[in-house]
Formats: sequence, C-alpha cells, structure tokens
Amino acid sequence: MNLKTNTIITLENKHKYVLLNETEYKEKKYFLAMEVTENKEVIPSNIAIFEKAVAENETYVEKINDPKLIEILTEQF
Amino acid sequence: MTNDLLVKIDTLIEMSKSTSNYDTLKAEKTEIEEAIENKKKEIEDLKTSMQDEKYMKASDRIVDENIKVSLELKIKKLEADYRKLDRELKKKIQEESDQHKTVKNNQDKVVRLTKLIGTLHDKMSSISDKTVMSHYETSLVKDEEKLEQAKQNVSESEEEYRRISRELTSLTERLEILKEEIEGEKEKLESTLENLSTNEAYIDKERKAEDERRLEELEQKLKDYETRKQEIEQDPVMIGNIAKELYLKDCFSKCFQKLKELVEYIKTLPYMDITSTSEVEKVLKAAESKAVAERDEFASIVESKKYNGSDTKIVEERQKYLNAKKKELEKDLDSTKNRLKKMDTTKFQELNSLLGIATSVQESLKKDLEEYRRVIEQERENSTPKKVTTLLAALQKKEEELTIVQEIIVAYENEIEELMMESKDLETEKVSMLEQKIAKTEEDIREISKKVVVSSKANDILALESDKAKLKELNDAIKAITDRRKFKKTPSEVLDEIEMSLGSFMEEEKINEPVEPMIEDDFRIVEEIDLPESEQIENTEQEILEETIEIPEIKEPNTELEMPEVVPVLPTIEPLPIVDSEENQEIEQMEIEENVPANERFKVVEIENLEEMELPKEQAPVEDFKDEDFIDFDAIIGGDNK
Repeated sequence: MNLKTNTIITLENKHKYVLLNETEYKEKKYFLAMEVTENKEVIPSNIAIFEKAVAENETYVEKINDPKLIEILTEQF
Repeated sequence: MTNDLLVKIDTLIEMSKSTSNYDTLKAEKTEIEEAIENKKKEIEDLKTSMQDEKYMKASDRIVDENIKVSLELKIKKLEADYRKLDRELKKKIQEESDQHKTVKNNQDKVVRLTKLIGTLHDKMSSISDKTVMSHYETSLVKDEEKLEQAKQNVSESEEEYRRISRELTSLTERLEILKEEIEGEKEKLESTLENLSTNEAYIDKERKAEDERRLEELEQKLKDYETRKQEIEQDPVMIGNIAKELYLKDCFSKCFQKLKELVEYIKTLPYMDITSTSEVEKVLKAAESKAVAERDEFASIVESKKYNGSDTKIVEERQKYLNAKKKELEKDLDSTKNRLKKMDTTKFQELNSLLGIATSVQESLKKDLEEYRRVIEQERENSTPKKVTTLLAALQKKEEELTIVQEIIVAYENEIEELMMESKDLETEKVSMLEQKIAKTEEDIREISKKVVVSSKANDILALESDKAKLKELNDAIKAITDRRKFKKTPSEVLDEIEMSLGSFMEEEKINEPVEPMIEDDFRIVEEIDLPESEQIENTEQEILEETIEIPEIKEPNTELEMPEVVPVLPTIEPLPIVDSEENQEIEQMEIEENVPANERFKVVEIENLEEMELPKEQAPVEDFKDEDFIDFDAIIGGDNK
C-alpha cells in the first residue's frame, strides 16, 4: 500500500487519519496527519506525525513522539 | 537482530495467553496513577483537616460559659436566701421556746388556782360564821375569775405555740428545699465547669464520624486502585511491552529482567513449565489423549442425559401404575360384560328351555291326572275295589310326580328371576362402577401426562450448568494443549535465546557502569599513591583503555531459530542505523536519549481517497497547506496518543 497525501488511512486499532502533508528526512518518509471520525469529520486536536515503515509487504506507520524530531519535521512540513 | 528479538518477545506475550491490550492497559494505568495521586491528596487533605478544631462547636461553649455565669449567680442568690431563712428559723426556734415557757407558766397557774379553789371549798365547808364565809366567798369568786382568766391564757398561749410550731416546720421545709436546690445547681455548675475544662463535649461527633467514614472509603478506594495498578503491572502484555520499550532504549539488562519475570509467569500456565522441547510433544500427546478421552466420555454422558427434574421418576411411576390399573379395570369390565352376556343369553336360554320342558311335563302330567280321575270315576261303579285302589295309587303317584315337576318349575322360575336380578345388578352396579373407575383412571392418566410434560420442561438447571462447566473445563484442557502445540519451544528456551542475543549488550552495559572507589570501612582509603597529578590522570585513562579492550565480541543472534507457527501481528522494526557521520551522530544521540518516548507502531489496514471526505470550511484543506501555515507543535506532542 502506497501512502500519499489526501488519503485517509485506517490503522489496525481502527483509528482513521487523513494524511495532510508529507516530507522526507534522513531517507525516511514522514506524514503530517489529523485524526478523523468514522463519519470522516476531522478532529483538529488530534494531530500526529507518522513515519512510514514497510515490513514483510505490510505498511506500517510509526507515531513520532520525539519532541526534537517533531520540531525538525514541523519545520519541513 | 532487533526484529528477531521483538518477535521472540511477542511469542512470549502470546504464550502468556493474556487478552489485554497494551494501549488500553497503559491508558488505564495512567488513569489509575492519576486517581491514586488524587486519592492520596484527598486522604492527606482530609487527615490534615481532621483536627479537633474542625469539629468544635464554638456556640455550644459560649452557651456553657453563659450557663456557668448564670448558675454561679443563682447559687449565690440561693445561698443568701438560705442564710436568711436559717436566721429566721433560729429566731423562730427561740420564739417557740419562749412560747413553750409561757404555756407552761399559764398551765402552772391554772393548776395552782384550781388547787387554791379546792382548798377554799374545803375551808368554807367548815366555816359557820357568815362574815368569814362572806369573805371567803368573795375570795373564791375572785380566784375563780382568775382561774377562768388563766385557763383562757393557757388556751391562747397554746394556740400561739401551735402557730409558731407550724411556722417552724414550714421554715424547716423551705430551708430543706432550698438546700436541695442549691445542691442541684451546684451539680449543674460542676458539670458545666467540667465541660468547659475539656473540649470533648463541644466536638461534633457526627461530623467527625462522617469524616472518618469518608477517610475509610478513600483508603479502600486507594487500596483498590493500587491493587488494580499492581494487576496491570503484572499483566504479561504490560511486562512484555515494557521489555520491548526497554530494549529499544538500549536498557538490555532491565529488558532481560522483565522478560525473566514474564517467563516466570508463563511457566505457571498449563504445559508451559516443561523443561525441554523433546519432552513437550510426548507430554502433550499423553495429556491430549487423556483429555480427549475424558471429554468425549463426558460429552456422551451429557448427550444422553435428560436433565429431568427429580420428581420425574415418581411421576413416571405413577403414570405406569395408572396405565396398569386402567388395563386391569378394562379387563375386569370385559370379563363382567362377558359374564353378563352369558347370563343374558346362554344361562337364561338354558333355564327357559328347562322351564319349558318342565312346563310341558307338567301339562302332560295334568292331562294324565285328569284321565286317571275320569277312569277311576268310571271304574268306581263297575270295577273291583282292588282295581280302584290300584288306580287311586297310580293317581296319587301321578299327583306326586306333578308336585315334583311343579316344584322344579318354581325353582326354575325363581332361578330365572334371580338370574335376571343378578344380571340387572351386574349391569347397573359393577359395569357402571368399573366404567366410572376407568374414566377416573383415564382422567388421572391425562393429568399425570401433563405433569410429565411440565416436569420435563423444568429441567434440572443446576445439573445442566454444572455439566456444561465441566465440559468446558475439559475442552479448555484440550485447548490448553492445542495452544501449547503452537509453540515449538518452551518459554525458557525462548528466554535463553534472548539472553544469548542480549548477552554481549548486557555485558557492555555492566562494563560501562561507574566503578565504585575501593573504600574499606567507612571513608578509609586503603591505598594512597603519591604521584604527580598529570600522571594520575594518564594512568586512569590507561586503565579505562585496558578495560575497553576486554569487551567480548558481539555475538550475532541465531537467525535459524525456529519461530512459532503463529506469528504475532506486530511488524518488524529496522535495525538501528550505524552512526558514521557527524550529522548522523547528532540524530543518533538524540534518539537514544533516555527521556525520548518510544514511538508506537500501527499497521495500516486501509487507504482511501479523500474525495468522499467533507472538510469543515474553517479547517484548511490539504492543498492549502503552505510553508508559512502554522502547525501547532504542542497539539502534536499532546495529541491523543492512540
């Protein structure tokens, strides 16, 4: 599965995020995402930065919690 | 290696069979920790506030102060009254004594005068001289007047004495009452003073008890929260995931300790404490065949079991009895009917036939007798007496025969009548009685059949549930074996492999631990080398270098390890990049900082285009995001960590 902006991704924990923007840093792809409800209404308070990861033909996203990295990435976004 | 190790940890988590969710547990733990803090704070606040001052009823104390003053005043007044009355009493006692003397004097006077008058009368009886007598008479009149006066005085003084006595009694009583009143008031004052000397009496006991109850509740709640927190912390999913996080933060020894804890738990589960893989299949096979046999046997018992109520057997026995009874009654009825039929047909016909024969014989005999009589009448004139006698003897014999036949006819007629009566009785009494009995039995059978239906519906729920539970237990035992089969290795073996992988890292951690100075006893340095400062530093560096050289080689993890059949859903993680440039070094250092929270991974299960989505107008569409657009950094950090 190819992640790109303007798409809604559904995670295994059933949470949905709209991918708002993307950037690359140290050869890794990061996405700025905002959570959406089942009815596809955005939840502005739930913003996250995801790192894309692929393993065994499966696509994963890793939620970035490191404040320093978030700072760097927000600048890039 | 990272991937392998994380998969192994996941295997251990799976072995624990915990159905908990790490995110949920973490969220719950955070909530509980917050709640514990709040409760601790509440308890502390409550304990601090639970001082006597809080429960002091100040108004009550003021009231008591006022009561004390008023009582003191009242007692003073009562005591003054008492003293006044006491003085009055003493005065009255003196008055009474004086009056008593007066009465006594008056009484003495009356006695004296009476005696004198008596003497005068004696004297006068012996006087003959009229003058003298006149003198005595005059004296007597005067004395009698005096006596009268004295008697009146006695009466008046006695009356006065009684009045004084009454007043004295009244005064004594009043004094007594006053004394009691003073004592009562003094007791009240004493009690009030006692209350005022301590605060105990002014404490709001209800409020205090309410606070004590609240404190008890809070402490119980805190205990419950702490218990739950402990449960969460001991949850295998929690332990396993913490181990993963520790591993990702390079805290290898701590990670391994956590995994040891997890394995200890797993070993308490059925079939998990088998020491070697070679034994596993043997043990499982034996256990499985036993468990399956037990389950199947029990299942077949359960299948054939009716779970009827305990009364069903009794009801069935009654049903059986009633059916037998009905059968017997029907048999009896049939037999009675047969007998009746026989009576109505065969026996009746037989008797009628016999009666017919007897009747015809009777008729024949009657004819014979008429003939005999006619012949005898004819022969009586012509024949010899001997012949007539013979004829008469023959006639008599015929008459006897006729009598016998007639008796037989009567007997037959009676028997026919008896038969008819018997038949009637049999029909009206026995047959109808039997029919009624049969009808009643049929009714009873119908009723009892209903009861059987009801009883069979009201199954023995307890027995059913108990059997279900037992069956589930047996199934669970089989499931435990099946679950165990999923894992080719024992938990201890998985842990050994992890230990092997982490061994070198843990060793390194140990080496990098700060070395404690060699200090013997308290603060006494065993050896002190007197060297120049520069040399000391050099030597220290040299020692460190030597120690660094001794680091054992990092062993590569065994990539050929046999993984369990069921692979956890969690994705693999790329190994950490090798730091070789200055630029990378900066990022690397940032990543391994202890305070950096571990990232959470989620599998993407679906991707859909945004076309269908309707964004609210006030929210910026993706296309409109520009570089200068503000991104709320705090919102990302503090966003919902799901």
